[in-house]
Amino acid sequence: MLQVKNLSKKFGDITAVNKISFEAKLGEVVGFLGPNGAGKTTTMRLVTGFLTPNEGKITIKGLPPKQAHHLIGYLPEDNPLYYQFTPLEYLKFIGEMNRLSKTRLEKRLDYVIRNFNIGQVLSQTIETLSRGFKQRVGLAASLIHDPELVLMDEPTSGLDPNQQMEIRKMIKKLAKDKAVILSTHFLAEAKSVCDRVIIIHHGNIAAEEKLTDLKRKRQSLVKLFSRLTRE
Amino acid sequence: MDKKSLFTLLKKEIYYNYLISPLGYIFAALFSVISIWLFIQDLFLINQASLSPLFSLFPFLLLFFLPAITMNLFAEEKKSKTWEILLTLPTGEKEIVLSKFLAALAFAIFSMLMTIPLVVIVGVLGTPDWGTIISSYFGVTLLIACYISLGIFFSSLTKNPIVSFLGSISFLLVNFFLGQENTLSRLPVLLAKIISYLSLTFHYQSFTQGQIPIDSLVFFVSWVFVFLWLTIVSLKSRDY
Repeated sequence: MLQVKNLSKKFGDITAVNKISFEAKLGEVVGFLGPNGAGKTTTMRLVTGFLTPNEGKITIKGLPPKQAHHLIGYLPEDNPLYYQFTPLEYLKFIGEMNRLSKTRLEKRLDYVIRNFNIGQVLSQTIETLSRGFKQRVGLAASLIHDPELVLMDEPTSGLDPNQQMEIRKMIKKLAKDKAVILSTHFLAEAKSVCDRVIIIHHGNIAAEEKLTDLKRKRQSLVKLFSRLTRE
Repeated sequence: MDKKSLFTLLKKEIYYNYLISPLGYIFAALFSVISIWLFIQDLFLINQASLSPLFSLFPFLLLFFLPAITMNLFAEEKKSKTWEILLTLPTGEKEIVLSKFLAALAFAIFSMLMTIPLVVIVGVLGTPDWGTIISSYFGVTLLIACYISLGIFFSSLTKNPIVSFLGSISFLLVNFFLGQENTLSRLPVLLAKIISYLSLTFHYQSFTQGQIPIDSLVFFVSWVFVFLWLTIVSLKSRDY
């Protein structure tokens, strides 16, 4: 589904991402772990086509990111939303931009509204919603066009433990027929949701492990993370 | 150019920035009140029903109003990070920039049309030169397009709407004063000619005299094209 080869990104003299390679398959949740400034968000922005790499190649179903926007669902860091829209207006806008036909859009609206349980806030403006509802609206928008590749940048950051659990359940549910990449600070989240983790440090991939392999090797993700990312 | 996504973006821009935003209504109301007040002042003070004083004030008046409309267009998207959503949708920078430009232009023209009752009053009270009125409105429309394209460009350069506002006003004020007779008369003839040609007001004046000069038309269209293109370049340079 997603193939990334020798990807590098520089901002002036600073190398944010340094020759990283990885892939993600349908039905798989890949977790990006790393301290602040490790290069997780930059990598996500490169994969979505928001940024252009200095080196390397990204293909999504064989297409470069800028031609594959319809295949990508993206929840950026801090969940930016158009606050003066109601959730319904916002979801319709994103759906129309993704060229969903009227009947398909109706079906998808019905699906995301039911699955993210946002029916009761559809006509309120987004700015009046609680943080948890805002997060659900952001997630619903990233999935309205039923994308095959979903990228979520810290999807549970700032939520209370109940809301975090709820969002994690949703991610697990949607991952069945999609390739999901999520970046997170929470190792417990990575353990409960991801099939594979990629630890990024100083723009490099410090480790890439399947969680089942870690379990088999009786290795702790917490210890591995702190060993690899200690300054 | 993807027409379908341009249309969806245009709908979103008009609805989000002007119909559900109080700024749009405040702008339209304030613009109408000031225009009507300027017109009535002339009507009673010099006992003349003419739109000429109003048309000659438009370049200066719009110079403050239009940057207030355009200052948010990209700066706010950057500040709230929604541009990351916008630029990862299946569309391009061209469609995004054009939709913001066309929506702001449509809204500003709508606000300008609120002065139509004044045209009716002039028609009832006197015998106006309709040709000059039509060419003046056409000139104002072109001037608005130029101001908006410049404002959008400044908005794309920063996350701060105030910086965008002040940048646009400063640029337009310099351009405005460079086109004034008292500035030009102090310069050497050749330099004055070059500078006057670059001034929006200089070109606009011909329209208020009932003329539609081709070179001015080309100048206005080129101005819009250059600043929209610079905005696209500015958006693409988010990488650096």
